[in-house]
Amino acid sequence: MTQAIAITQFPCPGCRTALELPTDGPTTCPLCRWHGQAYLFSPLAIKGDAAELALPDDATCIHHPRKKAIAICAGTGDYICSLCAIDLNGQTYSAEYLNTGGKETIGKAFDRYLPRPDSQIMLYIFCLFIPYINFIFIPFAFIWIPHAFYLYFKALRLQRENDLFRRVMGRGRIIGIPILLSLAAVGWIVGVVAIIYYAVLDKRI
Amino acid sequence: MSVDLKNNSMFKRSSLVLNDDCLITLEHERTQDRVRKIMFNRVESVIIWRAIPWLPIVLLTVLLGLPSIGVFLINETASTIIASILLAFVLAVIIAYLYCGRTTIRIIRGSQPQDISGIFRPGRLRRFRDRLIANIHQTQQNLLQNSPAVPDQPPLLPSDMPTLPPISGP
Repeated sequence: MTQAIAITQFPCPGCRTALELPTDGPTTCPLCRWHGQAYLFSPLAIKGDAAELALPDDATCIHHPRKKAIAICAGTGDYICSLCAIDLNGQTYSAEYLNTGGKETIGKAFDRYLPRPDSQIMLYIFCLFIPYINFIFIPFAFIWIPHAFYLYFKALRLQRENDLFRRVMGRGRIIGIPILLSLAAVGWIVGVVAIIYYAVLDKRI
Repeated sequence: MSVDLKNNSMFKRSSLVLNDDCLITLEHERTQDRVRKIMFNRVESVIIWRAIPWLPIVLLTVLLGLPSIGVFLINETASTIIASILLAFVLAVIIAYLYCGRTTIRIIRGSQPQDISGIFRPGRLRRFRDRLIANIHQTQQNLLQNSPAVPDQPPLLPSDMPTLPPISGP
């Protein structure tokens, strides 16, 4: 029957000694005087599936010669048993391969990224306030302000679709970004009109 | 609902989002966030400790505090005002660092430690810790209740192996 394992000790972060914890909460290591809080839990025991033993005619696992092979490792091409087989992105790899050569190539398969168009807009707005950079940045506002508005609508769509993004993008950004972008657009238009007007006026004079 | 804990450190900004069955850490980059998920089902322990962040305090003192003291010693009204503002800022930031401290949350899951460290406000950290502990307990209890009550099959022994028929031939 599946049962929970009650954890009774934890490794001290200071000296790595196993510390017993009578009750959850503040604790001190008697050896290194590390002080902190610890909370112990009772996780479920992992149920391991026993690999099938190989019969005389069966192909056997390269790492467990007595176990029956059930797959071929996509990295090394070896026969592997159910103990070694790990499914990843629709392919089967051996644990041995993932632990050695395949670690770096396969490692990225576990990476997950959340696109943040709102952060990109904030970067645009931030550039307006950095001396010298804003000098180069402002003349090209007719490119980046429309792009920022496009990113804003993309962020609004993501907010409707993605629960995590909804929690990450706060209400302040939803309200603040269009206001700041509108101010930047109006400021830029006023500036351009003023420059053209005075340039024409100067020529008349 | 927004993120549960935020670390606004200069070079490594991150946020923590607490769900019922997992903790999501978001490492903020310029245009995307790296998402890592820590499932609660196999969490063995959570260890939390605080330390004084000496490095930022020393850097702030050396780079901003000491020069502002130097400016303060110049006997001019403008420089005295600027130095006072700078000194007040440095003192406020150092007090904030001392008050908050650098907290490390170590979650040991399947014997593998995963550390989350940053400068968090104590009140927010306390609320986060309470919710984290409660959610882990709840998840593990739910899993235990939903687990099958049938005993698992005993492992296959060599004696249980099917016997092959004797090879008969000429």
